[in-house]
Amino acid sequence: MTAPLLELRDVSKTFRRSRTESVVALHSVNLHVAAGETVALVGESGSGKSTLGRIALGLLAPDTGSVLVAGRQLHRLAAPELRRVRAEMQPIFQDAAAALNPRRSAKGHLLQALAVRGAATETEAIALLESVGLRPGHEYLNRLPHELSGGQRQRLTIARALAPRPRLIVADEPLSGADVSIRGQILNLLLDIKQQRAIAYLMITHDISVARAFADRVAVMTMGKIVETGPAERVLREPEHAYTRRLLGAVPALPGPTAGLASVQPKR
Amino acid sequence: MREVWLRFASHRYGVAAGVYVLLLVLVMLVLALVPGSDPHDITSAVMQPPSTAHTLGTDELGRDVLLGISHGIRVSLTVGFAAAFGATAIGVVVGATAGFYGGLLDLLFMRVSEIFQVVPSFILAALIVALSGPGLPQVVAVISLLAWPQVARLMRGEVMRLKHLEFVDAVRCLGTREFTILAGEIIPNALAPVLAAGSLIVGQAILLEAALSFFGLSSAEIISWGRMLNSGQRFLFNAWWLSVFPGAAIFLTVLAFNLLGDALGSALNPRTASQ
Amino acid sequence: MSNPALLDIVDVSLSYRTRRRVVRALQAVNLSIAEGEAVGLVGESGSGKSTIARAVLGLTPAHVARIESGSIRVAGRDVTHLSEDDWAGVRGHPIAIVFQDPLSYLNPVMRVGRQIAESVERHAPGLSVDQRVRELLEQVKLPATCAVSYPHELSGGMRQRVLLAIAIACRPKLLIADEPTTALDVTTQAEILALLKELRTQLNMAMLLISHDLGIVASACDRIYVMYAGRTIEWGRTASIFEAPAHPYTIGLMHAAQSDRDRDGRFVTIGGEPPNPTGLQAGCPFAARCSRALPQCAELMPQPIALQPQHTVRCWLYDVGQSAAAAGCNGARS
Repeated sequence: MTAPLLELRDVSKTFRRSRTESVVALHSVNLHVAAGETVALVGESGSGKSTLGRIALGLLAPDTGSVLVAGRQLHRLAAPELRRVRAEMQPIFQDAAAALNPRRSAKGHLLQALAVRGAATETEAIALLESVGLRPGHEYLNRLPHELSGGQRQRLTIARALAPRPRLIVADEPLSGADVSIRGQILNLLLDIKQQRAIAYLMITHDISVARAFADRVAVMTMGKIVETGPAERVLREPEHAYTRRLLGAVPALPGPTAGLASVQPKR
Repeated sequence: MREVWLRFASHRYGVAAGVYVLLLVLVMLVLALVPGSDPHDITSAVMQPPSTAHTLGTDELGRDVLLGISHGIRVSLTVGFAAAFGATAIGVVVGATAGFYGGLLDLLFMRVSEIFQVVPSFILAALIVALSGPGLPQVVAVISLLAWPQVARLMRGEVMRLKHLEFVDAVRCLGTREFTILAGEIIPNALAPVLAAGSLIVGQAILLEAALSFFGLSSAEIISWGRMLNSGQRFLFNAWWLSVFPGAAIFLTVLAFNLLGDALGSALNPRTASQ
Repeated sequence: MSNPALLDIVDVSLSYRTRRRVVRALQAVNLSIAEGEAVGLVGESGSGKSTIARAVLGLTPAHVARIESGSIRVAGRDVTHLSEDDWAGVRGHPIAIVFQDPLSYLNPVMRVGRQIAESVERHAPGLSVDQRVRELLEQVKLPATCAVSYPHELSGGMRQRVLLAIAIACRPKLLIADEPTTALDVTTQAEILALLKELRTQLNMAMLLISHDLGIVASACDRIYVMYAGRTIEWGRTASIFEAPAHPYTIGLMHAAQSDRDRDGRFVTIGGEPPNPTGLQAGCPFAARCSRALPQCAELMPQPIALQPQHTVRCWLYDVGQSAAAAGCNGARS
């Protein structure tokens, strides 16, 4: 029984808003992601899902509880060891523009990330760019973030996340900013990566359809607590918890089967 | 880099100001390297209004005004750049540290900078110069000490804005050390407003130096525009050229650095490119 | 057809002109809304949907935006080139608007009750303002105690309800809702949409619902317009369009909305990038991304073709004269 890739045990986090006010963002949360597995963390704004994501990445320390990566406690690691482990978990953020250094070219971003595993060469950078659909790679090397379109920026952040060959990607609303026509492309890209590289995902989203499309397991979160977890098919089709049912019921449905579409696998 | 240059070039006033400053530097260098007429030369052509022989006139000792202004460039630019450099260096370090690490350090910085901002600058400057003696290094030091809080505040604000952006977190996830993040990711992005402020500080320094000289608090042996105003004030109504021309030089130069600061500020900001 | 349409946009072309470039935000757009109707406008960034909302109320940036041709009529009145003073007679009544991000559109230092009261005083002076504010709060299902709150003390959904209260205080004949739920959670979104429906019936109010989300528009609107790159490319009754979407872009949007997958398990997507609004192309703006583009698509913009009485599309695939050569057309012509 190997330890899961990422495990959050009894994690709690409270934020002090002022001297008198504090907000409990997370309340004794338990979550795990096994190697190669995709777990969707579904919740609305204020549920604490983004805070959980940051704790998972080691960007934030929990007040109580522990974060274990491959069975080892994150905060017990010595600094050089911690840096190495950090590289195994890479983020993809919602706002690609804010996730890139405005003064660094695409090449600069990728070389910085590749340096983690000692592979900071232009050839590798070009290969990465092309693997995320930015072709021909060498044309994108010297572009600054503001010279890229929204979809291209998101692809660049994905390329950067892949550079250190992580075992887990924590994606916080990776599709939210995107136009509908770009969403599908990015979704496909993430799917390809999942299939080709056996990377585990913690996909944080408020969008049920993304969870439905992607996840092996789904965890539903609200007000700092996970109210339901289970295999995606089960949770999305036969939700047990009242909140999950409410969430699923609130998604506006498209009217009837669209006969004019040559669509396969009606996923409803 | 090319883009920055192009953006800068589209600001007509900024370019004009830049050309003016370059001209000043050129004159300063020429005079320094080429032995020419001494501005201290006392001639018999006393109190002459502007003429063909003396383009901007002469003063009560027969010294040529144009020559005096040209030599005065050295003091103004030296003090200006040195003070701005000093203030910027101190300000960047203090502001970035306070903004990034926050907490007690930040609190301390806020109080210290407030002290410096509350003190009336000219009086402090005059005091220090009076105590330590007139001399360019003292003047530069005083101005740096008075001006660093502005830079630090700007830097702190920018750093505080930047440190929450996702790209900082992304680099953290690569295992980068905090200090490297501050120096490599945050400060380069925070510099644009600071460089613009630096240019303004050059202008402020020139003004402050001129003021000190005007009140006779600087060395009489060094020709500076303020000094010239100091000697010229007695003759304001008889020999207007002794005050007007040095005054115009100060005005134009300070204006130029202000315009330069504006143009630099927007040229260095990559986001304004899309407009 | 004897009553003038509440809103009639006829062949409107609008551009934003700055020193450096020209953005053709709208090109020959036609749109009409009758009294009591709910019309949806679907499009992505760069489609021009928000521009329409603003143009109808004269909210486009004055020195930069220019309506170059066509006309906009509100209840029969030509508002295409109205002066700022005259716009006051259109804004609020008969047309009111709510926007996407309520926090940006509410005064942060004024209590919301006061902001609603402002709207009441402007459009129905003389009535008991407090009472009317209370009535409005009730209509949008907010507790009366909300009136003393500041915007930042309320949740996103509550703020949007406040915006709605301000809008209906004017008793508008037409409510334009520009992405009203995009910034809200899914559960709140459902509530707001339900509220909009109720308000519409209570006040016999027409609605122009603008969104990038097909699902929202489908459930709330009788008719839909689909926009791409400043043009309306397909429009008609909601049911018709959803039964048999004609334009390849509309079809792509539907696939995306349903997260449909193809045989290989990949999501069905629209390739390429959203249009660059500064480029001026002849022909259909979607041609570059269209998997079924015909040779003439890049050269000439197709005229509207009525597939059914209430379903029109602008696409060469459905042009009768080309039907023999229209390879790949899956017989959507009914």
